[in-house]
Amino acid sequence: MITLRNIVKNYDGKKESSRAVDGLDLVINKGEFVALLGPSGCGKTTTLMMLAGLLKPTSGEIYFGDRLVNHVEPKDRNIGMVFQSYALYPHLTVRDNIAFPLRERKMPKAQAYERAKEMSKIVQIDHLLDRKPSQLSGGQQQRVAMARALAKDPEILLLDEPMSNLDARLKLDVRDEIRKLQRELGVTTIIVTHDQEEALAISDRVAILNGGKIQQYAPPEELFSQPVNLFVASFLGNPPMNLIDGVVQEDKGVQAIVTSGFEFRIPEARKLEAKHIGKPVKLGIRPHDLMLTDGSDPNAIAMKVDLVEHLGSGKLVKVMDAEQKMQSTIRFVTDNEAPVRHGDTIQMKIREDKFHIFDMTEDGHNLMQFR
Amino acid sequence: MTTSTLKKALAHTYMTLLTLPIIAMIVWYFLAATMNFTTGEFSLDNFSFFTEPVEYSGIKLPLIWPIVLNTIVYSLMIVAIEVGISVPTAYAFSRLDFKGKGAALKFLFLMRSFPGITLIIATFFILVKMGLVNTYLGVMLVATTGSLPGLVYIMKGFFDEVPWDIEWAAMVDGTTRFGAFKKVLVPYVLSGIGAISVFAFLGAYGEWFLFKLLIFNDDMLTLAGYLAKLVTKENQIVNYGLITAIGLFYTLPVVVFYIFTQKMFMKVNMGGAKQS
Amino acid sequence: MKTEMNLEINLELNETKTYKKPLRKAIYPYLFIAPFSLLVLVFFILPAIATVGMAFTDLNASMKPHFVGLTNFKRIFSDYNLPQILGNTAVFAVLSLGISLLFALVISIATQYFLKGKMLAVVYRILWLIPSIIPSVVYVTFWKFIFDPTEGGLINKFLLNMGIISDPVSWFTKGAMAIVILATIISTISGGMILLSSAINSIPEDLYKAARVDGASEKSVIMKIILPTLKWPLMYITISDLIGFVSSYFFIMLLTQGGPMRDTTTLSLYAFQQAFNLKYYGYGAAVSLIVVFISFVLTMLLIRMFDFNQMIKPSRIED
Repeated sequence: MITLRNIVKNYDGKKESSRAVDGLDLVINKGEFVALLGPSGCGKTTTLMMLAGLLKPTSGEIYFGDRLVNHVEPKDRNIGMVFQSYALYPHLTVRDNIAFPLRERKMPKAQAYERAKEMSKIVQIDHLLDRKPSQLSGGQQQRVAMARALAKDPEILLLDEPMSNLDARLKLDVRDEIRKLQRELGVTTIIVTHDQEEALAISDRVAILNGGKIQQYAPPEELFSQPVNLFVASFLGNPPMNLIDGVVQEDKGVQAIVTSGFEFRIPEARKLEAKHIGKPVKLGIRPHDLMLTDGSDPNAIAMKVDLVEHLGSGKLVKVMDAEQKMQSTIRFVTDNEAPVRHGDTIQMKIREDKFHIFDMTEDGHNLMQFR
Repeated sequence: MTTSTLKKALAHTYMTLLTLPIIAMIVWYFLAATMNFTTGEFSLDNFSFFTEPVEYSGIKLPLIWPIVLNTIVYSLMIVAIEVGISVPTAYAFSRLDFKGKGAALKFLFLMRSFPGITLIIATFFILVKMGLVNTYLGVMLVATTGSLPGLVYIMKGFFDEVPWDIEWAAMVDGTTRFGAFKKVLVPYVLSGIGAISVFAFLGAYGEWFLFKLLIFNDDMLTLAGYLAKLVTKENQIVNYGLITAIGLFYTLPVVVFYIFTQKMFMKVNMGGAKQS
Repeated sequence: MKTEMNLEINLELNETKTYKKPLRKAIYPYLFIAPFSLLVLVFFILPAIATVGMAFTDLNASMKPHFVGLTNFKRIFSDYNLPQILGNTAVFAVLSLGISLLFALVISIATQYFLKGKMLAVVYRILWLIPSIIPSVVYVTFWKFIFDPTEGGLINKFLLNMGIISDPVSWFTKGAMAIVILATIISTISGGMILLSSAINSIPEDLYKAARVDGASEKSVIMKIILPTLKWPLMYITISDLIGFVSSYFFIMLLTQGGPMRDTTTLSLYAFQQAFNLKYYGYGAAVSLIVVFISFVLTMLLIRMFDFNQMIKPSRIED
């Protein structure tokens, strides 16, 4: 188990302007696969570097099990790491690269080579053992890096954007292989990535970081269906969530969000607390949670089609309210067969249980969170 | 003929004319060394210095072979010392944090541009006080101090280019910081070490001034100092045949070596200079 | 290994905030710069201080220095040689700089723009580098031979054969400074050439293409694309070459030893001669202090051109 307790990291000593990580708490269970996900500069790589021991936290504590490791050398932490650039030693052969961490542990050469061979078989590069890194393709280099990181049988595996230099198709294969390998070895793994699809696909839990703080730490499906705040909601999902400004109003016990383009009635089961009435909010709806309907539906909203993009698997439709009073357009996804054309006026509705309401505080808390 | 080929032809013509004196110079060295000036015939008389001590117009110099040995030993020792000091220093400037690093780097730069030769009078007395006049150690210490700032600066450029990933990987893989330096960084900057070795060698090989100033025994001279004795004589009647013959023997190896390694020279850039 | 483990356990008990870097880590960087620092201290900083000190003494061959205050400096300003020597220094530095810069510029543009990528361009550049690679003692013999005052000298032989002159001309008596400057220029050009060439080489090819599409003439390509790129390298070469010309005297020493009379004696050579030929060490130090001062000012100018923040990068590993 890895525990990070109130970690703060300033790059420049005491200067707060250089703060990269700002009071981060995280617990990772043994054998778990956790992703640190966020935009660049969110502190995810800094956190990984502190776990590796290459950077030291300004304050706070890092525990591996119940051992405080704040000032333990990287070499004494028993970690394996794969870097974005793979960081293979260019002057050594593949065999010597994989054997390097073992030789550093004073393992006899023959034994280290034996182990290197074993590892290279697992990642299917045993035919390349005598090559230099410069003679390998990107995918092969990545495998060597994996083999090197796992050769010493580490307690913790750290992956720093390990797939960002691979092409899209290879990425999918490698992703599956890494996941499979991790399950087999049962090694606690932390991956840093800016690719949400990758993070959601590969990990047991994802920590979403922004501004050096954890925004939400949860299994992938929960992040998607129950974002705690505006950042998580808008960061995840492609195409991104629609966010529409509105005001909460109540009329004869029926709550509604009134926007400049339409009025959305909040279903009885998801009513807001009374204190929110009259307050401005943001209504968040994912493009997949809007659907076409017909004019007879009491919840139907009339919209004008502005643009239709073909995604292959469906159509992405951009619509505006008929009088164009709204600031922003709304995106929704429909299937290929739907008869939607530029200039049409259509009727659409919001899936009743698939919407979010965020307050206007700085963090934009999700008011639906605990319903 | 298009205008651009015309321009190229013109450029070639100008460049050839410009370069002619240098070609003439090279040709002359060979001619002067291998020709008897009075008869105008090919002769290898000038190369008799291979077998007997040089002696002319009152100057008696020792046989050349011990001098050649001195030159090789001195140059290689300078390379070893200068590389041995500049690599760790450059590593510290490039990759480590220490108090006063910024100021030290500025000072390094100041030293690199500031000619140590202006301080030679005082340097001489310091060597006298240390009892290092007329010793190789004295020459080496002064020569090394003079060339180190430039070498450190070049070497720092090579260390700056090593990706941090590599050093991180080494440390995660179980090395100490020093282990990463020794096992990963040094192999990575090997071409840089090659470049500064060449610079150090050429500097040492051409050093004559410090030998003239600090070495009083003729049999301790290196080839450059030996030749300087022949060149800077009061009376102006010079035996060109002899000087060029020794000069050719002395220069040819470095020029050939240089032509094969010239890419290294072109690679060394201005470092921190502002660009445009 | 065992003790290290114990140490860590103790640290855990002592609270993290009181963590103190182990000594070996604290001194680690200093171990790497120690040899260099020691050399610099003894053979650069110490001589610099000593030069200043000696300039205020009458240290000479008797080796019994006395403090004499500003006497040496007063003597410099009444030294009847001084006007000529300052003049020599200025002529030598300015002419050497101007001409070598011009040549470096022409060669770089010719080989990196007009003849870019041509095999011959590389050959030209290699040939031009040879004078700076040839050890100076060998290099100067060529010039000595060309301007040799006897019939054996190249120019004399040529002119005698042509019948233009009837007696060999003593070139070193008539134009020693010109010869010194010529020899200096030819061997200095290559340094500037390397920097200028690499600067021109860094101009993206697209820029030339765009200029050609816009119908720019070669002249305006040179004036508007190439020369602006060379602004910083040119300034750098100017100042660093000036420093070299003002302070170093190796070629002069090898070619003329400052003669005839004092015709080619520059300030720095004068300081050397006063100290080592005449053994007026105190006075020599005072004269060289002027050279030190000029070099220092020029060096400071050079340093101002550099962006040190770009050079000073913090370590990305912490301990």
